[in-house]
Amino acid sequence: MIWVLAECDNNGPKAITLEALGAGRLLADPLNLKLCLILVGSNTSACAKNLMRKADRVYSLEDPLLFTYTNEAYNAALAAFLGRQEVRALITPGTSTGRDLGPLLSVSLGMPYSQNTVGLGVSEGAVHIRRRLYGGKLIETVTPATGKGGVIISIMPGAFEEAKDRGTDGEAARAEVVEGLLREEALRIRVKGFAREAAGMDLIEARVIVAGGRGVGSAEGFRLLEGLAALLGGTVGASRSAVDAGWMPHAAQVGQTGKTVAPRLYIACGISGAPQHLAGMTGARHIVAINKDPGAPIFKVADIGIVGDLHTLIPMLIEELKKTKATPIAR
Amino acid sequence: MVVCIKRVPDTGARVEMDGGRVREERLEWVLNPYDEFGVEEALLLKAEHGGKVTALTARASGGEETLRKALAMGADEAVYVKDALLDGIDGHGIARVLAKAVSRMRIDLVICGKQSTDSEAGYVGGALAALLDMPLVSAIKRLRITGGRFEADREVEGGVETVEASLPAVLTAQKGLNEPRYPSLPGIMRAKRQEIKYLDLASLGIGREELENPLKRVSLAYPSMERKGRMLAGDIGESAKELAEFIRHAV
Ligand SMILES: Cc1cc2nc3c(=O)[nH]c(=O)nc-3n(C[C@H](O)[C@H](O)[C@H](O)COP(=O)(O)OP(=O)(O)OC[C@H]3O[C@@H](n4cnc5c(N)ncnc54)[C@H](O)[C@@H]3O)c2cc1C
Repeated sequence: MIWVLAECDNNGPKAITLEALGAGRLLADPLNLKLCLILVGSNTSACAKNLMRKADRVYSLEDPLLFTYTNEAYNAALAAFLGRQEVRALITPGTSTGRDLGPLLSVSLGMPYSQNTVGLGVSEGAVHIRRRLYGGKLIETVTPATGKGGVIISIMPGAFEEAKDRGTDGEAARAEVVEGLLREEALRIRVKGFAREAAGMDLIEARVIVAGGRGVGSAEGFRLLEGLAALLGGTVGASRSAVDAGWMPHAAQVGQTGKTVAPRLYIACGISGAPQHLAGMTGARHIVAINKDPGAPIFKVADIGIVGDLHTLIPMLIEELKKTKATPIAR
Repeated sequence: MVVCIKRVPDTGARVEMDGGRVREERLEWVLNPYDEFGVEEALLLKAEHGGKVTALTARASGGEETLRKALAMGADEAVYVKDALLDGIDGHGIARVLAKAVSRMRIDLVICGKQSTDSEAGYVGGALAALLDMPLVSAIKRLRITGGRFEADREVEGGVETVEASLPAVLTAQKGLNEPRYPSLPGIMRAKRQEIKYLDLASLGIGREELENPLKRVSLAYPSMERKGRMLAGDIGESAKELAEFIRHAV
């Protein structure tokens, strides 16, 4: 079976869960295996409801001690459950949670782990995994050495098409947490709190990112970018130079030592396009570059490039977009 | 405290291929930036709580320079698992080797980088925690140790999560944890003279067969990053109109 680990928030499944299901289909259909989704938590029903039509079987692994994510409890519960299942591949989201948990599951389940996966396929019955290396400078294809042995595949956000609804609901199934497996006093890690960061919505999930670099010139300059982002229902990102200058928090940094993003639309404003920045954004579906230097390397990776001063262009662009009252994109 | 470190190609470098392998001879190597945060954090902890900082690396060759950088920053000791059999071994095998080496030391804390900038796998820290059966707290941006416990901030989507766990533990360092120091000149001079402790697989009781890469490479290729983009360099008002049109279609 092909397994997909779901990730949900209060609004239901995250986009990456739908992408992971889309990725899973690329293996399940040619291998003629069932696509099984697994939801972990203390009350997964709300999230499961939205996903029934996208998988062949939907498992809920529930326990009060799984209410808040800790890698320790999730790893114990998932390893005990999946250890008793046939697993040809387990697809995990390339989010902070998935990346935290994946290596632990790899050891617990005795399965190899592949990160930053951007493509999946089946060739002569073998699973082929395409993944990024060196910040996207190279693409490597690998296959499990043991042939049919299981593999954990962490996918890059934005790299796969979201799964489509099938005609019928999948089967609902319960995954029992082994009695006595999780004991509060035995858990070594405890979550004490969560502080939301002011930097707009989460970059990884954003459909539109308006990113600024040194060319934005100041923290106030970023207000202009925020205006454009708000109009498009997106969020604001930054190059390292802009973060180092103190104009934006590090959470907004895109690139090798920041976030790797793959939104539908990436608008790079006053960013030169250093390899370390490109490492984080070339997976975007559409790339717009605005730069006053016609020789800036960012133009090489752009679908459309505007040579000009961003401080002049962006206000004009906002006016143009307002004219047609572009509806903000629903997330 | 043990800090696991490795060398990576400078992120600004061109990565070239030759016959399905990365051509390594021409690359410039640096200490993995995330590992540098790890070394710095260990040194800060030592200044506050005392103790000893050991830098550890495992590879077939070329690890000395990486270890000397950590020594020059102020690490007390350098351990190098050097073995020709490690050539081409991926994170799965390296984590096993590091776990064996660490399990022979008396430690309170293992610090790794969140990921390396070459494979970007972020595998070794987590796998090490599982193999050593220690708690894992990954991608930390703040750390405070009190007694046998610690509190750390982790970077997660949309915010910062604060967790508390017991020692010994494995931590992985995220950017923002600290500002790594530059090695001082006396530090560099001292590091040159310091002895590196060598280990090999036999001395750790690890056989080659335990290290086989579980994922085989089928191919390696350059991605097609470049796009045949349109350039608008004329009247800025016209550019804005055309760009608005493009954006409307794109979203
Ligand atoms: C180990 C390492 C890790 C790194 N990690 C990252 C990372 O994660 N993310 C990252 O972004 N960088 C990273 N960098 C830094 C990277 O190398 C570049 O220095 C950085 O991306 C440059 O940022 P920038 O494009 O904003 O600035 P610059 O390179 O200074 O470019 C500014 C651009 O703005 C243009 N401009 C100026 N004024 C205007 C205007 N009014 N209108 C329009 N255009 C204008 C200029 O023509 C120029 O092209 C890393 C570097 C190292 C060594």
